[in-house]
Amino acid sequence: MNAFTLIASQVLVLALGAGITAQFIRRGAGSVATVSGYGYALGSVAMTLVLRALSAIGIAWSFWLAASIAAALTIAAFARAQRRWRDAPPAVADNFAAWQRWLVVLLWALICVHVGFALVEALLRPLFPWDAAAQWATKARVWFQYRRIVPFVDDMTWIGLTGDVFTDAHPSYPGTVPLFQVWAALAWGSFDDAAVNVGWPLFLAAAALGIYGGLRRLAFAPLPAVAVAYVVTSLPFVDVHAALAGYADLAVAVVYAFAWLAFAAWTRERTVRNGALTLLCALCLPLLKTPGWVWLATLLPGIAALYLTPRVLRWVAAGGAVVALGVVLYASYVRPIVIIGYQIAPQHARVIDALLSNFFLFANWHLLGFLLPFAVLAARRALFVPLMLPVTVLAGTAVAALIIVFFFTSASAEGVGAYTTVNRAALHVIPALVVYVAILWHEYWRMRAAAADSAAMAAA
Amino acid sequence: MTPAMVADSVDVAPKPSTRSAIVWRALGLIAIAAALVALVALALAGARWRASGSTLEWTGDRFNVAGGQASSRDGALVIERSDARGAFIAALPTARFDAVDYAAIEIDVSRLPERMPIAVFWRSRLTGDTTFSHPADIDTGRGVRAQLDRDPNWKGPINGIGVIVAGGAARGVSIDAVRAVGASPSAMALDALRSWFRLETWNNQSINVVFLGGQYQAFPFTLFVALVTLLALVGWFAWQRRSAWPVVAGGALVIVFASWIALDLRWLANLGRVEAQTVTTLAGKSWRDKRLAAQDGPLFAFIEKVRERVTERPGRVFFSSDDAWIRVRGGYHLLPFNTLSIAYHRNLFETSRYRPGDWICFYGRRGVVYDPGKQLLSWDGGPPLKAELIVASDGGTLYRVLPP
Repeated sequence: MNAFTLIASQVLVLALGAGITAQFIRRGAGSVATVSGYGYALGSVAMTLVLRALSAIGIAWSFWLAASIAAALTIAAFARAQRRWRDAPPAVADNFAAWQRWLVVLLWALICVHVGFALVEALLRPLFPWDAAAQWATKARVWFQYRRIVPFVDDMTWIGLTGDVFTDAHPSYPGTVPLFQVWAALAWGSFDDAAVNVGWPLFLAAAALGIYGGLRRLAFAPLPAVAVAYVVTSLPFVDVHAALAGYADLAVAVVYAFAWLAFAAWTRERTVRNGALTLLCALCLPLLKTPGWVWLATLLPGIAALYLTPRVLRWVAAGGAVVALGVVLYASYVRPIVIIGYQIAPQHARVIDALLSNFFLFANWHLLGFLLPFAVLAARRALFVPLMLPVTVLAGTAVAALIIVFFFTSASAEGVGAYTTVNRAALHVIPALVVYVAILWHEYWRMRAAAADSAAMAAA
Repeated sequence: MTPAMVADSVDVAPKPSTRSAIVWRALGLIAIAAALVALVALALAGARWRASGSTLEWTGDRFNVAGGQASSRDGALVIERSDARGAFIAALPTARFDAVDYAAIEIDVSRLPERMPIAVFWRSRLTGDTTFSHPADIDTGRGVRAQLDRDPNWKGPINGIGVIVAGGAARGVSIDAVRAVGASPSAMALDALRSWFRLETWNNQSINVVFLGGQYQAFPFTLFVALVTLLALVGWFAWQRRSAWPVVAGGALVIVFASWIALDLRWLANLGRVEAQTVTTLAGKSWRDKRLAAQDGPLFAFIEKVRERVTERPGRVFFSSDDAWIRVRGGYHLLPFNTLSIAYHRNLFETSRYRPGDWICFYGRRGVVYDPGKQLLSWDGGPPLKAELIVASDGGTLYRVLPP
């Protein structure tokens, strides 16, 4: 048990996830990057399901047993995917200019620098950030020791119990992220709280690959696809969550962005496989963190938009807005409503100040605070074209959910004004929003080019 | 789409010569926008265009102690006690410069308690023996700053400056350096550049927000680059309004990309230096040495002793400290023992909830009283609990609950 088995554990996770993702992806431009990026993220979650299953049937975890099961599942998944991939025509090689090739290389090099820095930090520094030691790695540390999942309860319950029952700051938080660390610790052979963090920088690498591949599947050329991947991986707040490992937010952000990309492909191709990949990513969200339920729910209006006529959709949107307003008014003036631990009501914290500082003055998001609204405004003609409409509905719902979190929940008082929540909540959505704006601009560019072609033909 | 837009869009792929021209024009526009934004910022910040002084800096140990007591350590002046009126006063009578050339005095201080007031004072040849003071109430990240350019008494040839640390409990506060910040455009620009690229290491807030000095700076780098970008984009759209769509969009992308790269290189420069520190302090160390070298190393060392004793007779472990971060870290280091350490408050359960064999561990916690003769432990004035003291070292104690 050493660095070799630690590397093997992560390669196995990648292979398992790649086998799963390959079930849903057609061979073509970006397919290998997609399978790799999605593969690592989905494989990490799948590996935790293997550990959960072993624990549920009472078998103590060991690296080799879990690895053998994962390897068998990987072989089965690849065997199933192989025929479809073998029969599909290979991707056509891209033909692009030398300057574009140089830029692509430069951007990949910059992505590697970001991932490299995060990897150095994560592997050298023992577990550092606050919540990681308060409520995430606590479970990992105990479960690794027991080689199974043992219960965590709140302190008032814990004080009256005996036996192998534990407590921490948030005993009800999902076990997936702690199980990422357990898996690495099983491979390492002991609970070294630096080595167990290997997954976080790899999630950053997976984000780059998955976004690049996902955009290539949407007919992006290599340069804009890698540029978008670079934009996401270069965001300081994203890098921090990869380097100072231990929180669930980066994994939520990556998987949510992957769900949006798969959804965009579903919108274009209307294939069951893309729909299944979207749902698979979406279902991982609540496994990673409780607010994942909210982000899962934001996909529903987008999916509805796939099948409803625009007229019906307008009515549904108006109805949804009325219901949301009704819920806020009811919670404010009749009876408080608590959703996933947060009370719904208008907040009096200085949310605007916090948002302005964090998006326009501090270094968290580079220029996104300025550029995202500007980019959406500039490409507004493409917002509601048929290929964009469902994705726009999804993006609008996610932004609305974020606005509700910031302005109408107790999360505002607890963490927005003091900066403890504002960026972490935004992190869940920002990579997906970057992807959305890229798709919007791609569509807008296509519209302008098509118009230019038409004009040229008319002139001829 | 209007006919004009369609006509604009005909030329979809710019030729290489055009492409090169787009890039150079866009970059030139960024340079012009950067110069304009910088000039406006300097004007708004009160730069004195005819001033010539560059920033002056004095280490703390060059100051004489005029009130209280202090010692020199590594170039800094470390306060040992305040004077009878509760103030510590340090003066540098040899400081000579013209007030018109300098806009502010910055004091780099370490270990300064929150809300402890600091002020600067000075004498001017124009006002004879009269001493003037001004509060240093702007946080700079490394200390505090007194903005003096609008103080009516900040005038003429300055012959002596000083620092007052008020509030009484100044023991341990270190005055590392004092700077007179130049008011000339070049000094102010250099000052801003230094501030933008100052190293920001990991801290307990890093996981929640990446400031890179933005919380202290009057004009953060992100805002500067954003304004330059927006100005350059507006200029580009106005300049190229009659050009084809790919030219307009291509130039805009060049502007955005260049700005993004500028911000990213600043971030990578900071991250790279942080990683260099990480490698220097942690690489090649054993598992144990890494933890001892970490921010909570002393706590880890204490918990090691606790773990030895708890391992001999395992039981539930209760951990408490006055400091929330210590509670979180202490509870974590004690795992996988069955540990309770409440992150949100320092209170423990009432004594009736403890069982013989439980362990109670305190680290940096006030209000704990132990009577070794009677083996009675109590905290915060509550009823006592029968317990034996097992470990007492490094600011922490470990007790084992005994049968009543």
